[in-house]
Amino acid sequence: MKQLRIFILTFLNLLVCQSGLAQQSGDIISGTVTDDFGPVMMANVVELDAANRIVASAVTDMSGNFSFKLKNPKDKIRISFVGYKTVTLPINKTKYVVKMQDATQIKEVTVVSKRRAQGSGLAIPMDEISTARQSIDMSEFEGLALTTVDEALQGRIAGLDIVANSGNLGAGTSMRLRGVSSINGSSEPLIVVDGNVWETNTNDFDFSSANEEKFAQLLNVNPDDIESISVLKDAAATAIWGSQGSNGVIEIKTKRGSRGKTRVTYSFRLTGTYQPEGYKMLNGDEYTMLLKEEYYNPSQKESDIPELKYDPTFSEYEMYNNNTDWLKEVKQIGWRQNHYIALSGGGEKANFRIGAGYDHETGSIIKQQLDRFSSRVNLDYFVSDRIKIETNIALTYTRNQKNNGDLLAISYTRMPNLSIYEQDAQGNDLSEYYNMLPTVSGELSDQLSNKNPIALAYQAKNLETSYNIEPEFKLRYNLLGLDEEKTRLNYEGKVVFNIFNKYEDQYMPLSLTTKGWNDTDGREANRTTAYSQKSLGVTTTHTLTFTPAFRNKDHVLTMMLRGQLTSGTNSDQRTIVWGLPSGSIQSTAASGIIDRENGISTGSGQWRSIYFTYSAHYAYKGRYMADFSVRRDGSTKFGGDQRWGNFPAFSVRWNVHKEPWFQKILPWVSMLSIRPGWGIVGKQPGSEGLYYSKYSAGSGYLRESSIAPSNIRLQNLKWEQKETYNLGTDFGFLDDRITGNVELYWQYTTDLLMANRGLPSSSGYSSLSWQNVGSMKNIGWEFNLNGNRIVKIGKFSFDFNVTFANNKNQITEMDETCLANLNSEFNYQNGSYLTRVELNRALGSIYGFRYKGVYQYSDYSPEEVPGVSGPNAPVVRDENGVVVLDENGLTKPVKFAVDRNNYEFRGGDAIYEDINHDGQINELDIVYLGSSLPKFTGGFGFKLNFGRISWNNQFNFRYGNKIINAARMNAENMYSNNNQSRAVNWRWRVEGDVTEIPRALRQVGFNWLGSDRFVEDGSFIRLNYSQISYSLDPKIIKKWGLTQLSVYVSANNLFCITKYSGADPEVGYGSFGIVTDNAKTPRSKSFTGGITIQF
Amino acid sequence: MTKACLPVSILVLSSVFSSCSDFLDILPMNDVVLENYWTKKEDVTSVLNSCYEALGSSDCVTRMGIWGELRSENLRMGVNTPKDIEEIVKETLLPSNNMCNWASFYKVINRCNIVCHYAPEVQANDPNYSESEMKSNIAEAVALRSLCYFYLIRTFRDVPFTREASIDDTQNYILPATKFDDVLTNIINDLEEVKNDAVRRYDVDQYIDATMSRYPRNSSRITRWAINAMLADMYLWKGEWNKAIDCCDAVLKYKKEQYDEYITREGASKNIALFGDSIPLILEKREGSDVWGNAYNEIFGRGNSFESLFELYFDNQQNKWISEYYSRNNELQVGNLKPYDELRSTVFDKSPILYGNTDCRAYENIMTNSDYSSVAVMKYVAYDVRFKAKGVTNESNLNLQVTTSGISYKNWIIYRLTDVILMKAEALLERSNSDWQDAFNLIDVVSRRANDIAGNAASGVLVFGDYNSSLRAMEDLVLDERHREFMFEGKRWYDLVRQARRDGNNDRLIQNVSRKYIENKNAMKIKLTNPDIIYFPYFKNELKVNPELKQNPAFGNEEDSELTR
Repeated sequence: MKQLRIFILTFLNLLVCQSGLAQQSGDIISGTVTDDFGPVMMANVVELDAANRIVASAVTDMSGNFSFKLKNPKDKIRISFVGYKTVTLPINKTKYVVKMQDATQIKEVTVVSKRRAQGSGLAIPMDEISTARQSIDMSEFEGLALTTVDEALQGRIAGLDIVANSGNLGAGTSMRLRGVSSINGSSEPLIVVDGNVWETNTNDFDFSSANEEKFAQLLNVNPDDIESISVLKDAAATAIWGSQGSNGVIEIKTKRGSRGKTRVTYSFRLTGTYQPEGYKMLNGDEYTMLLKEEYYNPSQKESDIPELKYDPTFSEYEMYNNNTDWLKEVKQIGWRQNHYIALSGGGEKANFRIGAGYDHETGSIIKQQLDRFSSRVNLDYFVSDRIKIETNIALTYTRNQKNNGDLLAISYTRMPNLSIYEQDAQGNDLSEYYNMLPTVSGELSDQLSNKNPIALAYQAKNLETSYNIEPEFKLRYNLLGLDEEKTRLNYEGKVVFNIFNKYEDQYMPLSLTTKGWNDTDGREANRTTAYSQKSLGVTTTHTLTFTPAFRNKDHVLTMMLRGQLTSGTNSDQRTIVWGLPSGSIQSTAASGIIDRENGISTGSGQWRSIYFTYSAHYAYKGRYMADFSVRRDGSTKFGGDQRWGNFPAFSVRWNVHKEPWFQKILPWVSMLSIRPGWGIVGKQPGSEGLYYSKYSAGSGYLRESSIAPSNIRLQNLKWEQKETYNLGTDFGFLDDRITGNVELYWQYTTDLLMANRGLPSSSGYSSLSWQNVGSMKNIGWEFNLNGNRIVKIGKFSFDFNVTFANNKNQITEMDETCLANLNSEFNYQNGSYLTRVELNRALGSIYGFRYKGVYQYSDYSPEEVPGVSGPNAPVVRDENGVVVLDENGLTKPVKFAVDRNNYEFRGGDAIYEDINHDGQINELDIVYLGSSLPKFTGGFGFKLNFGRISWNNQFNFRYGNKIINAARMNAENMYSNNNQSRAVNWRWRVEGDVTEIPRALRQVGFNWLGSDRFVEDGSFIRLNYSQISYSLDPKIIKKWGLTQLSVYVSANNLFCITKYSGADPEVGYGSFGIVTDNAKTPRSKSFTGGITIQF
Repeated sequence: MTKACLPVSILVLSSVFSSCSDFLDILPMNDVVLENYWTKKEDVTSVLNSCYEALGSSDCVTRMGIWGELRSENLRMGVNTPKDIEEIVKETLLPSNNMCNWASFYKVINRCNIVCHYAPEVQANDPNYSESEMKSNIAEAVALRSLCYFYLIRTFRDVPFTREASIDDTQNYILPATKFDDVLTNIINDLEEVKNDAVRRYDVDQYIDATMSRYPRNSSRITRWAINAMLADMYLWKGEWNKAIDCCDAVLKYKKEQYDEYITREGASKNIALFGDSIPLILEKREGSDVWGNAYNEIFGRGNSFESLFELYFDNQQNKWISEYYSRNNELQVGNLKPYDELRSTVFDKSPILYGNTDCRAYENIMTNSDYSSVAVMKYVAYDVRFKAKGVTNESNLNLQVTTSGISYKNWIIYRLTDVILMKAEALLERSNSDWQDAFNLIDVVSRRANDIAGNAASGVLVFGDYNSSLRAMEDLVLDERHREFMFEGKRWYDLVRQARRDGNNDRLIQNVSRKYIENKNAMKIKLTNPDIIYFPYFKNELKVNPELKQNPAFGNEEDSELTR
């Protein structure tokens, strides 16, 4: 109160001249500064106002004299010089004589400071937090070969399931915090960097099918810049983020400068990466033999395909008689260099930190290259004790040279008897790449689209360049008290700009298209695409924090009010031109043919939002805490009454260990607390303009323009609401050498938002763009345990960490028609699984047939006649396995879907369990095969320290999830001309063969129906990294002028213990939680060596 | 003072965020919103154009072709036939077949409903928009809507029927199916109500000579004559013969007037002549020329001919139904579908199954090589056809010359003059046996033109005495003539269904259709005796979202039928 008056008066004093005091503004204040040896030259003399803001200053001259014009007689004068004690005097005279004294050793001072939550909400001491959150200090990862933050988080946060999208350069990860709580729309947690959200237009952005690069925003933060990461899990924790944080929040705080000498840190890492071994594929000879069988089996006729016959008179003979290992040709050892340099330091007035990193990376697949430059400049300027200005500018430039096509996928399917290069009559490679001729035998024409991957890598182009600039300006003003003893009211105002530009350039040369210049359907010859996208977002935030000082120190109360306003626009354009005259011209500006269908397209959008947040924290004696917050979200996506949503949260905490009685009973328990919490968060749909009936232009009729309504406007649409109950407990034993927490949660999502809700098409529309359709439940628990120097013998110490989590998801309510619409129909075709969303069942359920092996014989006989017939033949059996005979005493053949295909199974065909024993295999034999959602996820790690050497290991695991291995399905189906895996060498070939692999049948039969044959257990334990690091003794390196020198080597993704047969059991989520492995580039394995120097 | 501080700050903050709700209104950048629409005349005509546009979409035109043609004897599987099409041709049609998806028609219906809903409002506000303009626009919308429903009921029998515009999510969209007869009555009433509001002619000048430019609006927009043709057709389905005849007469009278007008203005025509005294038709052989094919070239080759009453206009949008299903890339090659060969290969036989060798339509509709090993659809595919129709005894002395036009931008004809003539004939012969002679004369007019027998002196191909023995023979005559005339125009299956409804059984339909089957002929015949099977099943996905719809019993509920087996 007193401070406020002083502040106001000071303010007035600046405007009005005051009289009646001894000194007046405008008076000349002068004086002399001396020390024991005489006058002090260049000493700093400043006039400070009540808030310690410098309002006037002077420097002493050669004789130690100074003078300046007084601004305000109420101010103070301060004299300082290096090596001397600073002197502060009131202004009560016009002439000063000051004698400086040596800065002597001061008395030891113990500063008690509590670790506070480093977030964008209230700064609450860590042991008073009543919400579910888990933080990791980045110092734990110092020196690790991490390229992105998510790699560091994998397996470390209980309940945060992180799965790498693919091993391609620049690919991101997909994350699920506490399971999936929404059917459509994003399930990814919100990422907040220094209190800022990466603002971009997510209108109509389909997250479930988003390709990898789109969600790789975490890549824009260099891990070396990060100070700490907190993951906010329950609704009470994420409440201040409202609808943005409905999937949880990952808060990242970057490093800032601190007062002291300027320090320079340089680190360098060199990483070698390579692809894990995938399926072994057939070589050319095995392949041609397989194909001949594939063509022979259905028709019992020899095929007549010259490309498979090794006939030397065939003009392309040399090109089709090879054993090319395409996989070997496209794989390589990739190298990654990371350079990072940071300068940090600061003085009385300003702190700074400048970090700049440069990464250069070549992929483990040929011709992939990524260059990234990232920099972050953080500048804090203390105008006075009351005012602080912060400026942060982050810039990331990424240039990603990708392959124009999935080389790995092509290599798995391309005919291995083809040559890479054109060959002469003697079979010597020439300099031209060999592409299949369009005149290839009709049966093989599907292989034309499998372009030569080597040629594709070298001749085609796919370049993506992006710039992301994020300047932030922040002003902090302490309106009332300056220290904890006084009532404080702080204001913080902030403006953040997000500028994001992206360019994509693609080029496909004529030589790689097999159809020639006048292919007006494909329009691929010398086709070039230029795409550019730009977006600008502006976010303004105002925060008031109020902390009253109570006379009774048992009470602590702090509260915050925040308002934020966001707006942004984006636009993009694409130009496609084909038929460019020459391969050396790749610009869309050259005179080619503008693609008639989507040659030129542009798009634009804008977004806006407003929110207000109020949150309060109260603590009594540090034992009983209560938090309350409410957020009011304004959305552009709802109209009228539904526009604003209010989302409250409430949580309490009881620090049991602080009770006096407790410490007597259980002295070895250093911490124990219980935290119940409750909260509601909302979620908005992913598209704008839903409450408008939109009229869009059509192609017209009779050369007159046309406009038609394009949607049904949504007036009933509401916020999706997620209500969370959380019960958490924190514990610490043995002086917090072992700490941990357990969280139980119950999440109830109501008014589930569903996109493209099916509508009877008799309305004129096939769907409503969004509708609230039902409810969902997520129940789970999380466990997190950390041991800090749990064993300590001399120089040796041992740390560990363990997390695991479980989540169960269930749809509790949904309209019948809506469920029906979501559920797929059995299409009687190979390779497809039924996905069903059912009430009281989890998302991610897989349905299919049960695979029982291969029929040994075509003809049945009760006893085996070798090579002729046997009991394992396709005949109808009843429930007891007894063969059913018809009226003539003959066996009945097993058929596939009598109504539809009427296919009769034969020897060598796959056996599917006839669940209902009706003698045919149809959709009634489809059963539940498991769920794609893991039963447990988590990780564990340990660290051994011996003096300055430490060995750090981190594992992560998932348990009990099923994966549809579509990659293996395609590599073993023997149904097309694609190359197959070595496993098919065990295929059934003649009557009597006992094998698990059916016979080869091209485009016929039902040997690869969606069955449990290809549904595999995706459980795994992966060694995420193992690292040995050594830092040199500071005493030694001080001689070299260094303060830190450490070296390390590490291995990432060294091994993975799993039963899964594919290359990598870590497969991203697909729609409705079903996980399908479509042979994306697996995460590569790598070895890294690095060095960090600081001086 | 501390306490006072907070509210003050809140006040300051709230002023920053004043007018929040306006801020949160984001108008779509690429679209107009309803709130800013429906203010002037052009708004109505633009949406009206979108009704035509939607009806001319390949989804709609393909279905008009498939629903009206595919299950008849005209077509068999061709090259690379898509699975859905194969199912229909083989009569193994299932509710999951995408061709049962009627969404594209309801899209047109909804747009028409929207025009009808908002046009009066615009007329009240825009002084430039006269009441008669508004009424004629509504007449167009009602006609297109009725046409769509007419297609739907002929295909599915009972369908959801609504005249309500779909605007927001507060409305009920789950509608039960309305009975065939109720829908038919409703659309007839709707059309009768607007019939006289419709425009008679959009452009005054219309040249009848092939070499002159055309005015496509007169036949590619709804006119009063198009509505009359639709009504005639609907009355035939309803069995109201007199009304059908009245509607046909109105069209025929107008065409005669139009013809007279030209003759007065331009003198005698070499292109068009009167048949049966009062019906002007385009000649197969222009007067003074010695090549045949003129009528085809006028009607199908160039489109928007004198005989056209309503056809969908394809300007620069490819007609995929023609260029993919009837042909391959609009070359004269077998497309996804091909004709039932015997229709063409028996032309020079003693007793041809459909066309005699003097019938120009045989050569215009179906393309063949000399040994009939490759038979393809020619109607619509060919742009220009020339041949010699006199005294031909085999394929080679036909001297057939065919031009195709690259990508097919062919209009799709829905009603043309000969349809009206034959509809009138059908109504006459059903009305009373005393009208059979008149009915026969009308059928003969169509036949004469096709056989290039102008004037009344020479005897025609058809002889009344061969048919006047029974109603059934007369009905067969008109069915056959329609078959010959409208082959591949999306009419044949509907003709057979209409006759089956009239007969009360599917016998005649089976007899005709089963001709094309090669294998499983008897199984097919048995299958087709089910009275419900002549209609298509409701689309599976539609049933999923519309619990009020009950599947056509002939297609049953898949799950149930299998569980009981």
